[in-house]
Amino acid sequence: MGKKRKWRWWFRVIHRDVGYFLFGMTIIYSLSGIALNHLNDWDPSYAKINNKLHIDMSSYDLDSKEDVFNIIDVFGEKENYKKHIKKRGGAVKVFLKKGSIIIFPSGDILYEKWKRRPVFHAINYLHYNPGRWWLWFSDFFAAGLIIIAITGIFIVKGKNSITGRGLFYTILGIIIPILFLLFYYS
Amino acid sequence: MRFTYLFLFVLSINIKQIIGFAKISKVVLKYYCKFVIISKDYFFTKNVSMRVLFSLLFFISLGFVAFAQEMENHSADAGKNDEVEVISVEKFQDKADSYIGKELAVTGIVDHVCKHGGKKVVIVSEDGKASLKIMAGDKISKFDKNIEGETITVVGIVREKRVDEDYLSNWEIEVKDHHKPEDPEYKDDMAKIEELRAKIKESPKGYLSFYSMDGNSYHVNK
Repeated sequence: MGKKRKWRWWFRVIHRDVGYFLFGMTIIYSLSGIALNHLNDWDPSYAKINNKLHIDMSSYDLDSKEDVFNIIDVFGEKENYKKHIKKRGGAVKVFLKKGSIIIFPSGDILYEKWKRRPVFHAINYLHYNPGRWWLWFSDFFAAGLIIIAITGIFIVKGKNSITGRGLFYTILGIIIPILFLLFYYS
Repeated sequence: MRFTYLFLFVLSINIKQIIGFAKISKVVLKYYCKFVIISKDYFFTKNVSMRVLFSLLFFISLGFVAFAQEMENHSADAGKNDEVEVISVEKFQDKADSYIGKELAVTGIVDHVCKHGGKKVVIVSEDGKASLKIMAGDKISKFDKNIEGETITVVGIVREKRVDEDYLSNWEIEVKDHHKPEDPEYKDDMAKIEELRAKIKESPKGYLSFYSMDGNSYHVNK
């Protein structure tokens, strides 16, 4: 007969091992969560450089593909040309590899270059569930977080346990979202 | 014990088929079997930690095999438009109302990928006169910004949003509730409402139709 373990021992083991296993996922989802919370302030997947410029259009005709090439050559982007389309008001949008140039008939130019953010692009890709198997794994991760949360509140004994100091913090953590709902949820 | 693992492996393959994946490709299966054969001794080692670790690796690698296969099937499916009508975005615009609720494949140049999660793209014609908004459906996790400027073919269901007088009245009430007349948002929204109201008056249908598509799959045209 093996030694009979108490439930608290099992909770500690589950909390510890599931916590280790889900460490990477927790960091991925936390970082991408913060990044996606601030979508109105920045693009977490791509770093962009926007420039407004002006050129003299007297020698260019936007209906001519050759002239469009000549204009983008001014910016050294001829090699990065992908395609161009016409926009309203006679403007032309030139798609580049990792960028675009919008040329207005007035000579105003909107020049945008972008590149992938090395870490955030990857973790945001994962955050948006790139496949069914990742969806399952992320469901497993979410279930794991619930397990960590439940086991976590019961592993400590004594004055800091869920019947003491722990209760205060647990209730505080529950009250904050409830208050938010009371004030803003309609 | 060996039979248990064998049973689990067979069961996993069956689960893959039950949940709708196509047959696993021979190349993937070959390399996967190699992995299992090479690492089989680790599964049956007396060291419990190693056994647990390799069992975990076994199932994670199985997941990756299936994931790779799913990606392969996904890209293959996007190219199979045999039963779905394929039209350009210009042609779509000409008779959009006849496609409402139908599955269709539309081809156009990607003008813009929404930065808010890549859940929306706008495809346009080369002359910029025709455009269509595509929303990422359940089967498209997101559109990547790299496809801007590429010609893509999207398969999806066409949706219509009708804007009529009732819609504009509700919008007007909402604007008045949320903004003061001196706010720029108030002025902008009211100007838009008036513009749409004028268009509705000119429209023989008595409402305006805005079309979009719930995309199920897409591929970049070479």
